[in-house]
Amino acid sequence: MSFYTQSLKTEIHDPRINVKNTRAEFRLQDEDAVYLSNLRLANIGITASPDEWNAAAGSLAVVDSIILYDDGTELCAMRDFDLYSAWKNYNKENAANKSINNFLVKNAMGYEVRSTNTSTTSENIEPLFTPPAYTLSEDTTAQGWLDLKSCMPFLASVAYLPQQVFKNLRLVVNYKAAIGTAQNTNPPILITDQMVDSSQKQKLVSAFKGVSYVSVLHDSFVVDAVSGLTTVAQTKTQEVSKMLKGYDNKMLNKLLVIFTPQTTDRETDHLGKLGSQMYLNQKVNLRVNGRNLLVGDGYDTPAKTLAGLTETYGTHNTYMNRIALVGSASLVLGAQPGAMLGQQSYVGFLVREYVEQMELQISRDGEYDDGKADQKQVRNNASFVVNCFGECPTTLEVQPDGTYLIAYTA
Amino acid sequence: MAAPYLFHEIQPENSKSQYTEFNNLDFVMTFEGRKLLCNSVKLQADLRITKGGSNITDSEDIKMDASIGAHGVVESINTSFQNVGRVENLNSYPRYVGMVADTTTTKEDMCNSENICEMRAMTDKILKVQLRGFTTDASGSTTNNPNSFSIKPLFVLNSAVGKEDPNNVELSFKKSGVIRVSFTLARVFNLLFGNDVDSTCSYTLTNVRLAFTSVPEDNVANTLIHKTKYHIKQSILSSRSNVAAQVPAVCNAVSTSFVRQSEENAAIYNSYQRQHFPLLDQLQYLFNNNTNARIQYTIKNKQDALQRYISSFRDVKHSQVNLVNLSANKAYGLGLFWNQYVNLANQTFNISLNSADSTISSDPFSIHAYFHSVVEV
Repeated sequence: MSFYTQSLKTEIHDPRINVKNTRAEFRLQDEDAVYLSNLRLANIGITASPDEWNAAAGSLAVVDSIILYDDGTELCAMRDFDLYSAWKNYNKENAANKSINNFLVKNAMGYEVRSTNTSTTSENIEPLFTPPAYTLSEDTTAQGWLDLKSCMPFLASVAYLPQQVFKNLRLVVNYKAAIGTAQNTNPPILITDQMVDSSQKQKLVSAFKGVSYVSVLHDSFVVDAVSGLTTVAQTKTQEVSKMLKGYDNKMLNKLLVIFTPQTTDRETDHLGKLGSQMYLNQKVNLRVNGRNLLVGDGYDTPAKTLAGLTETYGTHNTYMNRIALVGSASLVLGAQPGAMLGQQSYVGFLVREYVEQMELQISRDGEYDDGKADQKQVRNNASFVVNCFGECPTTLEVQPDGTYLIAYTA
Repeated sequence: MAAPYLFHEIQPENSKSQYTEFNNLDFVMTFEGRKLLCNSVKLQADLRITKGGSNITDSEDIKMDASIGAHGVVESINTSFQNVGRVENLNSYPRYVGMVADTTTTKEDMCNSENICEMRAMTDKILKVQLRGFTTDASGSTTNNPNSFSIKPLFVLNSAVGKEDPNNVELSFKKSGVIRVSFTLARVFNLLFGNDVDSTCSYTLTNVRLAFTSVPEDNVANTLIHKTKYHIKQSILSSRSNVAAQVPAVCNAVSTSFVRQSEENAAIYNSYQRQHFPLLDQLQYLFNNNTNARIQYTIKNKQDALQRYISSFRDVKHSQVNLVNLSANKAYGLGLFWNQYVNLANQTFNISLNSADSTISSDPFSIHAYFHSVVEV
């Protein structure tokens, strides 16, 4: 049966405000309207000196945050959206990335084996497509499409948005200003589906009593560089334990941890800051309410880390799980997968507890690099930002007077 | 208040610094006052492969089966519950994993995280490069860490479905008692293959742990249905063969695969190959030595035989049983799904094979048959 019937109308909205490289704002202000929650953004992209989009985030790398307001009330928000969307694209099956997602977000994930029939590179892992490029022309630049349900759990949980309850919906898209050289963001469009059958609309409005959903909350801290590495082949263990205050007094379902590199070479390397760096002999554990969540050192091997992430968030699209191969990586890895190796080591915890106090414990080994003068700029030794995205259950409850309350679920 | 989720990790009862071929890993799972979350059991370890005591190098041809990955280190799994007794004894386990991979995944699926953490890869050559270990990209680095793996064994504890609610897969400690899981490690010549595999090759497992998850006991009675497998291995010594099996269980399917006996448990060859049974003319599945209602005709069509093999696992319209693999003598098997549970304890099940290949008598095959059964706990 077709999803679209005569009782639905698809509309395209231009942004009411569009400030290049800063923000675009859409307003939905039809007082009788009932919108389905499947809001889509299209034409996300920039014109700039030609270059490739980030291989993980694609054109979504230009979006800094997306926030849905009702008047001044924030219904849901995704901050550090570029970072989160790079992971969201990773959080897909290989087949989905190859056949659908590549085309929608203009990234380059989804891998296959290519044989070149030579003795040195007989079977290489390659992405199906190279990352599409942005250009100086709006006609040729690669632009993305985004289903907002995929990054805003509120929209994924609510079936429809009645404007009798949400009277002044505003969708604000904030941009990163310096993704490309001489960059200008293109005006995006918002695509909505609206109910047009008035009896059906009335039924939906009177049935709408609220919704339970998860809010994705962000917290972060910095881990300093490993110091004191002075001699060849020296290694040194660094142990860090830091409190995460952003989830105190909230129920926390899951926690995603991203290690964002801060060295200058990593910032411009393949995934830039939009991956999650794997460190040498990395160990990560979470201490919740005075109890270690995992036994011993927690995620103390790459395989355990990946298995834990998979159990927490489902399948991810990866081809190898290590910092570097012994011997020549070019024997089996194409240029892009070779460059991305060790840059998608995300950590996931299944918590399901009411948090009164929480700390993240991280341990890694720094290693002397005799090719670098400044050891604090070496990949394994450099400082990094720990970005955490936690899922906290939230409820929106419609009151008898038509107003509503939003609260974290205890 | 009891923690909602507890993530357990246990060491083998016979704790050692490292384990190698033929060793047993005996794990005792206790979760008193809690319920085991079935389908969460993982075997985790670090794997180091050496030749002549040294790490293997680029030039050496030493591989593992990419569809099986680290499952290949486990030859058999024996599971028993204190209050129930033995619930599964699964032999030739890696071959079964390979058959499941052949019939339910494609090569591209090996780029999904649940397979990568099990050390699976798209091709044997890609896995071969990884077996050397991993290092860092620092100039002058001497780091060579072993490969880590985290496999979810395809055994009784990881194949549960709730009877009342399919998603409720909690197993109460009151019902099972202590659970003992014993893994027997595979011989080197079974795990590894390639032109440079010889008697100086070995593998070691370190930091071996069995991980599982439990939830608090809620005193709500539930019933679980676990899928179990019975493995039978027989020889096919001539071009006309009859494989007879009596299985002490109620089963709903059988899946079989073949390998030349000369290439089984031998260096160089992949012991876990799912080889083509050559020039198959006729195939018949018989109960009590008679054709019966389950399949009334002799299978002469190759596509029919292969489709029934895929269906014997579960046809997800997504498999490696394709022309490329079949022509490379891979991913072949035969099988039958009966659409209902049949008690095989009191009757013999026969597979009758007719081949036009005259080499079978001089170079015989082994047939590995896995009967799919269930146990209710």
